[in-house]
Amino acid sequence: MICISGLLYDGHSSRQIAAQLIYEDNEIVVKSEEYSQAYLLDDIGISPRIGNTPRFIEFPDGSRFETRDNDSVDQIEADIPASNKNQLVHRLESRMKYVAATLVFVIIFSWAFIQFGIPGLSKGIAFSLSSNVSQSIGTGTLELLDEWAFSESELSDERKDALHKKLLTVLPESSEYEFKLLFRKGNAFGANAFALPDGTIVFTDEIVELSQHDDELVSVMAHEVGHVIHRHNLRRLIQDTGLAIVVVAITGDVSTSSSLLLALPTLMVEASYSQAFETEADDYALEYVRKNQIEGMHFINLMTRLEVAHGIEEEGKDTGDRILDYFSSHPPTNERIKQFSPKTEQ
Amino acid sequence: MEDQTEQESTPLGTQTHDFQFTGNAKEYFKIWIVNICLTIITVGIYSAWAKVRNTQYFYGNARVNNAAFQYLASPIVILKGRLIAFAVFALYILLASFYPIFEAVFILLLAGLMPFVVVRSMRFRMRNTAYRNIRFNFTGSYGEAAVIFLILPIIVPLTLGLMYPYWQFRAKQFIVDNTAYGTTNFKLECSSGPFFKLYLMVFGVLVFTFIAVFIISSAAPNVGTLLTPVMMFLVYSYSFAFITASVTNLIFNHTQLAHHSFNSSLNPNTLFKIYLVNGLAIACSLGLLIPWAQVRLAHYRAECTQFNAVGDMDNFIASEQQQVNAMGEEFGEVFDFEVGL
Repeated sequence: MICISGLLYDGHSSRQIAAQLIYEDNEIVVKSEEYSQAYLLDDIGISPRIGNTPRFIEFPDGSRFETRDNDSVDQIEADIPASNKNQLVHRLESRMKYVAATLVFVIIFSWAFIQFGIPGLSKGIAFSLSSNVSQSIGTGTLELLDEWAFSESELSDERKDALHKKLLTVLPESSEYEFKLLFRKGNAFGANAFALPDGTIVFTDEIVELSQHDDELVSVMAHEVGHVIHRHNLRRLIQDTGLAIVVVAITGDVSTSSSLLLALPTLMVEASYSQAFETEADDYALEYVRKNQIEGMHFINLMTRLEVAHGIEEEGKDTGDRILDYFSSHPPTNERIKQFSPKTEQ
Repeated sequence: MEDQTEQESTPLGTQTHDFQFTGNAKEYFKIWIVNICLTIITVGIYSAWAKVRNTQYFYGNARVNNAAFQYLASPIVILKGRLIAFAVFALYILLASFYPIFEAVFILLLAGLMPFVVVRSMRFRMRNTAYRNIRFNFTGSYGEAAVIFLILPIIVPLTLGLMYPYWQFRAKQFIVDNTAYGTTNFKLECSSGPFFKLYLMVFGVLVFTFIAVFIISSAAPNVGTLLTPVMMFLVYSYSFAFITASVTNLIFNHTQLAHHSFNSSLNPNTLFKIYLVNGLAIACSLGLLIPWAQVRLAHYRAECTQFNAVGDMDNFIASEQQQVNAMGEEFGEVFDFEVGL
C-alpha cells in the first residue's frame, strides 16, 4: 500500500482540498475529510517526473491530484507498464555519469558538426545540384549593386578592351559557367573585385587603378574564378542556413536578450567559414599562377597595396585587431601573402 | 520541501502571497543537456518533447499560494507546428536567395499573418497553462489584433514615433484584458499616461547619452572611438532592462483578477546586472550556461512578484475548452515574434 498526501482539485472550480491518495491492488482511492472516490490504476494519467517539480495525477472525471512526493508517485508509476518509458528520460537526467556522457557528446558533436559536418554536407549538396542552381542564386544582385553602390566605369574603352583580353585568358577552357567580366566604379566599395554566383566577375575602377602590373589583376581574376568554380555562394548559403538551424535547435527557446549574445559565437563561425572559402580561392589562384609562370609577387604586391588603400596595416596591429581577425570575412593578409611568396613556392 | 509562503493579513482581509521559483541551475542543466542530446540523436524530432519538458520544469517550479503551475501542451501538436514552420522557413530561405525580390513580398505576407500568429500563439500558450486544475484562456480577436499589430505599426512612424508609447500600451492592454483564468478575465486598470511618461524618460536619457558621446568624441577622438561602442552598448542594454522592469511593474501593479491584484517590484538596476552577467556568461560558455542564466532570471522575477488575494481563491470557474493546434505558437517561435508581458 502506498499513501501520498497532496492537494485535490475537481477541475470545475479552483477550490483546493487537502487529500490523501491511497494505492493498493490496482486501485487508487482519493480521500479527503468529506470525500472519497476510487479509480482503476489503468484509468489515471501521471505527469512525467521532471526534476523535483510537483506531479499531477489526472483522473477520468477531470479532477487532479497535485503532490510533491515524487518518489511515491514513481513507485505507483512502476506498476504501469506503459509509463516505464516515460521514466527513461528522468533516469538519464538523474545519474551524473549519464549527464556527463551527454555533455561530452553534445560538445564533441557540436564542434565536429560545425567544423566538418556543415561544410562537408554543404559541399556535397552544392556539387550534387546542377550548376544552373548555383548560377541562379542572387538573380538581380548585380542590378541591386548597380542601383545602390556602383556607378558606370570611368576607365577608357581601350584600357577596358585590353584588360578584357588579358583577364579572359584566366578562364578555364571548358566550363559549365557563363563567365562575364564587367568594370564598374566601386564608390563605397573602393578597390575591390567580386564574383557573383552566375559567373559575373566585377572589377572596380579603383582596383584597376591601384594595380601596377596587369599580372596583379590576373591573379585576382584567378582568385575570383576560384570562388565561382568552387560554388562558394551556394555553399555559403547552405552553411549559414545549416548553422542557424543548429543554433536554434541547441539553444531552443532562449529569450531574445540572450540570443543576441549567441550571435557573437555564430558570427565567429560564419567568419571562419568565409575565411576557408577565401583560402580555397587563394589556392585556386596560386595553382593558376604557378602553372602559367606568373610571379606570386604580383598577388602579394596588390594585396599589400589593397591593405593600405583600405586603411588596414598589419604592422602595429594591437591585440584588439587580432581578435577582430576572427570576425573577419578574409584571412589575415600576411598569412595569405605567405602562400604566394617565392620561399613557399618551392 | 515545505512552502514558505508568507501570509500577511491586512485589515481588509487581503492576503499577500509571494510567487516562488523553486528550481535550481544544476537540476535544470541536467534536464536541458539531456534534451539537447536526444534532440541531436533524433535529428530534431525530439525538440518538441524537449520544449515541453523545459517549459514544464519552469512552470512546475513556479508556485504561488501553495500550488504550482502546470504546462499541458502536447509534444505531437508542437511537432506538427514546428514541421510546418520549418517548411515555411526553408521556402523563405530558398526563394529569398534565388530571387531577392521575393524577400520583400514574403515579409509583407508574413506581416499580414501577424495578427493571426499572435492570437493563435497566445491562445495556445494560455489554454495549455493550468493552475489548480483550471486552465487559462485567451480570447483576443483577430480584428483587434490586426489593429494593434498591423495598423498601429504603420501609424506610429507617421507621427514620428510620438504614438509609440500608446501603441505599447494598447498591445499590453490587448494581452492582459483578453487573458482569462478559467472564466474570469484579467483587467488592466491603467491609462496610456504612465507609458508616455516612461518612454519620455528613456528618450531623454538616450538623447543625453548621444550628446555626451558626441561631445566626448569630438573633443578627444581617440577616447571617442573606444568609448562610443561601449557606451552605446551599455546605454541600450540599460534602457532595455529599464523598460522591461518598469513596464512589467506597471502592468502587474495595475492588473486585477476579479477582486484580487498583483504587486511587482522589479528593480531596473538589478535586472540590468542580471542581463549583463547572464549575457556574458552565455557568450563566454558558448551557451552552456544558458540553464544557469534562465534559472537566475526566473528566481529574481518570482522574488519580485506577489499576489494579493481578497478572501479565498476557491471561486474561479473553469471554461469549456477546445483544442488549439500548435501552429500559431510555433510560427511565432521560428520567426521570433515575442509576445507576452
